[in-house]
Amino acid sequence: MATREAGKKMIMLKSPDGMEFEVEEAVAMESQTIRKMIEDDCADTAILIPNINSKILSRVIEYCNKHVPTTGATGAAASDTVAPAALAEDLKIWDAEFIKVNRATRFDLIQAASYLNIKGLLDLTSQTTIDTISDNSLEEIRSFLSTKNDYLPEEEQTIRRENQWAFQ
Amino acid sequence: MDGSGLMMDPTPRILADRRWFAWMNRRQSSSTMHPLEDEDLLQEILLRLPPQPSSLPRASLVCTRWHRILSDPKFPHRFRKHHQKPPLLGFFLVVPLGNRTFTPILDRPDRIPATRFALPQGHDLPQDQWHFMGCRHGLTVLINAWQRQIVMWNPLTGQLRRVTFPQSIRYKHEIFCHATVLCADPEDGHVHGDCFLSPFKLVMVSVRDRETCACVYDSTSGVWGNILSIVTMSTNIFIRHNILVENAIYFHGGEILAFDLEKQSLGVIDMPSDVDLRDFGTSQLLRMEDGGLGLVVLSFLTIQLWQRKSDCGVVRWVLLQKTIELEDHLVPRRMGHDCIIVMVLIAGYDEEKILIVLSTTGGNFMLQVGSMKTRNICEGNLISDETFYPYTNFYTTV
Repeated sequence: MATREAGKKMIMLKSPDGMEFEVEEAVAMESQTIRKMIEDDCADTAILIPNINSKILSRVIEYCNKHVPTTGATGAAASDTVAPAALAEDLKIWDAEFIKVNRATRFDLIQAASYLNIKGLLDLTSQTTIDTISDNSLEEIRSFLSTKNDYLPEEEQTIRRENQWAFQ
Repeated sequence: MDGSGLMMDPTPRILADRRWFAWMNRRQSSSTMHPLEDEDLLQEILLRLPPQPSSLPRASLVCTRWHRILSDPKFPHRFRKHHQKPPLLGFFLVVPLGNRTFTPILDRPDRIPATRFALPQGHDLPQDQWHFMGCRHGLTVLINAWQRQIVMWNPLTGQLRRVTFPQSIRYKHEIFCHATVLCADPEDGHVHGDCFLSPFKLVMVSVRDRETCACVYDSTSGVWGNILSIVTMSTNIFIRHNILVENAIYFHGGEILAFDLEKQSLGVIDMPSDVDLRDFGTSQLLRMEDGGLGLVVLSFLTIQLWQRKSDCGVVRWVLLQKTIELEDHLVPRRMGHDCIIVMVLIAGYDEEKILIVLSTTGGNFMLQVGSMKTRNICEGNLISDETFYPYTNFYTTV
């Protein structure tokens, strides 16, 4: 949880289960949804995030804290001496650790990222989901998703025939 | 927890935009919904499927809902935008004035068979009359000088479009014709791949003795522009390939012709000293990693790399430090007996991937100029007389 620092504008985010998170405005504005709200004159107020519980919201804030641009007025961990490539590599390693969560949490993070419109987090969570299943067989994917094959046999055959090479 | 924010404003604003209402509607319809049941989020996730050709066909078989999302006409557009760079599917191997075949280079299950790259039946395009000019932006160009026609063909969809030569170019025996296409879609951030219905430009070049003419067809207006002409040092230059660099197309045919699409100008640019571009298979224009014009020059088993650079206001060829010893990179495939590379020719290129194709006595290879990685394309123990035209595109048909 962020603490108030001199010269930094803070904003309060509140989850529906009653938890409050004070974060730097720049961090909160990693969410395009919150950014729009702040830019539409809602700065200096608390914002209730109606559908993201405190556990997920704290993870989202953790992600935004790490990914907020480190230059300019917000520059907490900014370092002019670190090359952009090294910073990008550091973020990549951090992301890989961050996303080591169970499936339910990852799905909650996808929903939160979509709702709050945080492109980087949506990319990370969605890509991880796809990477998890893309090497699996169709049956394994269905089992992972608890989805049933609802094709009629002849429909399935038609689709297979169209791109037979892709199933060899 | 610091509650000072709330004390300043005891009534917190609720983050409620259209996303929230959509969310609540979905929540009400199913309290247990997770992202893969939410159609919008599922589409967002499926965009991240790998760009390899088998990805979408395979995923479409998971269930009918996935198929519905993947077969939505808007999905391929978003898929291309997400991935940006299409995969190299293979090469059209073209014998001069003759046969063309497609050689896929990806491994199963991404190996689209050659039969999917055959011209559609019923269009009367016999191989000995329609000459293959190359590929760009997912489109291939064929030309028939006798019929005075150019055909643009999307091999993945089978779509064809014909354009007739400009009135002023009359075919005669001694005229050599070449044509190339480029997508001119004005959409911001347009990703090439499904450009058949996009606005396009065709650039046609005709050569007779020492006179070379060029002309541009603009699909938006549907007419050919003015014919530009230039006198070259050599006679009857035979254009082997062309490359798009920034706003210009460079044609290589023993001399280098530059056609500037913006300024609508045609010129000949000089060659590096001591380099003779007339020797077949020993030089190749490239688009360099920084977007500039490059030139690969092959001498026996050594490659020199040149780049066109501005030096004190003068644009000239600069020899880059990198000299490539091919012996270090080409590992010939053994075919029952020891096989060594004794001869190499440049047989093709890909302007997007910055690679060249080398035909050798030990097989046909592609060489990534930046990374120096090589990969075998197809076997052979003879120097190929075919030209290798790369075909890159996304496969989105499900």
